[in-house]
Amino acid sequence: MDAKYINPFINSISGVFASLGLGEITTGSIFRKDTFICRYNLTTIIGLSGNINGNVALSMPYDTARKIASAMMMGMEVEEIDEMSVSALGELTNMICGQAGIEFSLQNLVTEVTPPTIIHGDKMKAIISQVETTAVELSSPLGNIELNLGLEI
Amino acid sequence: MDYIEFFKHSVKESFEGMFGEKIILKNETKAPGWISSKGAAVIVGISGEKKGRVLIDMCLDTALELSKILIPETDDEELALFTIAELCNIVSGGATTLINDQLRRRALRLAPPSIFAGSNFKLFSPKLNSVLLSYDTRFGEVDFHIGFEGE
Repeated sequence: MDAKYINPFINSISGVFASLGLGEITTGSIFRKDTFICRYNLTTIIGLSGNINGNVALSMPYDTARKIASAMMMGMEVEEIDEMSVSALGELTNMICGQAGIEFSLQNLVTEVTPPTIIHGDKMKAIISQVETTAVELSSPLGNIELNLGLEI
Repeated sequence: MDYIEFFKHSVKESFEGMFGEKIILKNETKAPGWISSKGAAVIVGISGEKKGRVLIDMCLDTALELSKILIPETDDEELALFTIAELCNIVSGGATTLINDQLRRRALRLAPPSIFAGSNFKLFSPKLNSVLLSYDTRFGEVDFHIGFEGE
């Protein structure tokens, strides 16, 4: 996948994490997947439509999701991912994709986002694109996150 | 939710057109917050003037039986998942086309389907008010969760 489609998401994750005080994001390896077995047990997903069609999934360990939700809710203790913390994680995904959409608009690419869905379970198989999925390993002070881009472009 | 009748119509037309099998609406209720999957789920997101999503959920065995109608003697899990992804896509496309045509100011667009499978997983879409349409088919139950923001 061309870097011009990947970088807006990496930039937006870094920007959103910084603005929410969630710490600095470090980018690791970028690789292609056909189908992915979710490496981590919590995934948030948002669909894109418009000039860029596809799905964007953030996959992370449950414990990382718990810490992110807690930080987004002003440090409120999050022992388990309940409906309130799931809303926080959905909003995080919304903000990341919305911010990436603004960067795409500077390339004259109009995208709209669909509502987020959060999926929790062990050893899940996921197919977010029938074309190809590009994965980006990210690390943050709250734990590892895998960005998965299934874009039909 | 004023859209639900369009989805009911599209489920029946799409399922019976695709598989040549009857699908019978068994129950219509407010959908739960967390959805415990039966084993195979597909999400198609909706954007535009109204945001929402269509989620189809069934047992993997049901998905396998449906894929065998299209390609007999197959036993490929991935093909089964792509079959129900296509079903979800066709149902969502049919319903949003009807909505866009009949409620002219509604410009709804679809994201491509995303597919999840596993023995124990659950899904949650914050801020959506969803209706659960539970259907009976010869191959098992098929659930459609249809939700929109602010409905």
